[in-house]
Amino acid sequence: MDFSIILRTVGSLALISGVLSVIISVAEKVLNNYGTCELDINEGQKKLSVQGGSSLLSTLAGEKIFIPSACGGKATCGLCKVQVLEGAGPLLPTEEPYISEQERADHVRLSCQIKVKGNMRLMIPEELFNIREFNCTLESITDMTYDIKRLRMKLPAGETINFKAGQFMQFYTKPYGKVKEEVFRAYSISSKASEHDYLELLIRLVPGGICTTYVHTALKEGDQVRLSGPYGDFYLRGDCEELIMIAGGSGLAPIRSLVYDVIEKGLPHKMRFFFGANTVRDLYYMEEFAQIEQEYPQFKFIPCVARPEPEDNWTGDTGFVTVALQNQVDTGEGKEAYLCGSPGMLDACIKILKEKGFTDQTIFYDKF
Amino acid sequence: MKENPKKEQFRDTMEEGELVKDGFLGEDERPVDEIIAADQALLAGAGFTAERIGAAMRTLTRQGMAGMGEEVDAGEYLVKAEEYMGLIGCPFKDNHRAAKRNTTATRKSTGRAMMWTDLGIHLIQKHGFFQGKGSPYRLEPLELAAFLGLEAE
Amino acid sequence: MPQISPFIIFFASIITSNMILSNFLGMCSYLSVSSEYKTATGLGMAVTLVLVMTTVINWVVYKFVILPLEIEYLQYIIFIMVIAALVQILEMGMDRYMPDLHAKLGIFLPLITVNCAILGVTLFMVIRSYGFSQSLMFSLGSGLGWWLAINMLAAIREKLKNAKLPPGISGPALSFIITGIMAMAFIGFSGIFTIQ
Repeated sequence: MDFSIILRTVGSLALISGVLSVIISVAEKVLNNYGTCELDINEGQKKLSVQGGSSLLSTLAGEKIFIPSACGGKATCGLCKVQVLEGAGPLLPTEEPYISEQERADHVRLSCQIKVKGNMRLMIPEELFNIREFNCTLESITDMTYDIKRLRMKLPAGETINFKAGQFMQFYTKPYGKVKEEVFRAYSISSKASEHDYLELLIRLVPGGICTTYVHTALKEGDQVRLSGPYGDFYLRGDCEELIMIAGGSGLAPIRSLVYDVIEKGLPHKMRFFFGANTVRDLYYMEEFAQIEQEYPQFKFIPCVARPEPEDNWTGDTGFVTVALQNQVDTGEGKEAYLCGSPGMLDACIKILKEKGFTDQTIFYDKF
Repeated sequence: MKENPKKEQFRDTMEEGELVKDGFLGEDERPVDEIIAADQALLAGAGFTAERIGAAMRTLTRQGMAGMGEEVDAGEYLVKAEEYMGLIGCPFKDNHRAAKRNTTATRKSTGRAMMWTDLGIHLIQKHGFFQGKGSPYRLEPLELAAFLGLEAE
Repeated sequence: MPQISPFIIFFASIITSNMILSNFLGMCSYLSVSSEYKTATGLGMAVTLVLVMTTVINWVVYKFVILPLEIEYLQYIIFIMVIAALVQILEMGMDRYMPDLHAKLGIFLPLITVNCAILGVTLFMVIRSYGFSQSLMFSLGSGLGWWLAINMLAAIREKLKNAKLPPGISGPALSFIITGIMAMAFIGFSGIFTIQ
């Protein structure tokens, strides 16, 4: 075989692929470089200069503005909505199912889907500016029941958090096992709002859940954990005489925080806390609430067990929490209801509460 | 065969560790479209539709929900619907968010039990998707139809 | 055959020498993306756009690089590299300057890189030694012809969604049968113009 053919083949292929690679790299430099973009938030209240090219959600997170989101930018939760007045481009097919006609007219977009490509004008609710990120140290991880763990985390030295009792945090996992990316999920804070350098969360194991499995199997004391928050509008309104609190499972978390908040602030409200469980082994924090009940007559603790076994010697209410609610709460007048639990339990309780005269303005719960 | 990119973009959210720990596909290498089409052909041949199966599952789950986590006697079946906090989005990105609820139904006459989630019902009813082979929540369409006691049409 | 008028080539490549219905090129995406009319339209548009651009650039590459260097035996590799690079750049450029269009066509572009109709048109152009204007009209015609064919199949498949079909025949099998019937119908045009 003629040597020059080999030379020419290799040479021309190398030349052509070289030229094409140079063209692509140059094109990438020119076309994918959006340079510095100006973000104008709330009509000039805040101005940011950011590097363009990534999603609005992650760009804002890089600037320490955290938009609540449950799915982590996969366009499945539809929570990360932001009003973008200018600079977002056309509505994308991935956004369409989540944006209603009204929202479309208001320029509402999914911030995880749109890319920062130029100057933008945005509207972001004021309270989101208080949300910060914390790299905490996991001080203890305690089994509360067979499937609920309590995480107690210390904030980094010198940092403090101010939250309203009842609000939630987003908890970020690290990649583990088959999970290759960081994911985050929302959990209510169970510690006292007066405790500014610690956070506690109660996390129940969900079968197949990415985040809860991480917490229950991979997490160890001393680990670093990343949280952002506080989020949510589930907090005490207090425009009434009595607070009816209802929780099931890990829904106890925000209620515990609320109860301590009322007591520590010396508020006059009477409180009744209905805590529903299926079996006696689903109950926890029993001594603590019994203790509060003794010290503060304004607080009443009503645990309800649906199916106590004879050997449990259960002396409290038997049956579903809805039964106790039906029998023990007479009217919605002068009362506010705070609920946290699984969706079916919430629906059942809300139905009863509405029959008793509670309204959408006096019933509070988290909708995530 | 090349995939329809509109459908294939959902494959990413269905992989393990994306929305749920084990994903929706199991060891199934087939495109999502093909999984749906294969199950659909199977059902059509036997005279069932995914919508009817989904509706029957939802009816059982509704009956189970009355028990708030306790087993309920629903005629032919014993049904238990267990709930967890929070909602989960549909991987087909259609703005559906399902409650995290696991329904276990046991047929009294045979003792056979089957388990599904609310999201699983939505996937079957609205998308004809019974999940990939090897997924922990995969339900074989014909077995499911027989279990639910549906009549062929 | 350089004497054929570019306009005849244009119409012939839409109707009598349709890329799908007479050459059966680009079948993969034709079959898998034809279940919805709207999506099919998007893909058809993208294929037409990419076809015209790649054919024109490949013509230039062939004429001014491959022929002078006498490396015709490398043309397949070179054409494919050029197509892949071009689609990459096209996607980036579209994302930047035509976000509207990118939202519509963006997801199809990577798929098109490996569509055999694209390479097929380039190779036909070389085999038939077309000049520049002939190549341009040939690629435009082939793209529109491909678009027409996938839209027709998609329209038929949308209609069939409500039909009761025997289970064994539904899906790809039926698409092939429909394509065959469409191809036979297109043979009827073959007396009008011939280019091959």
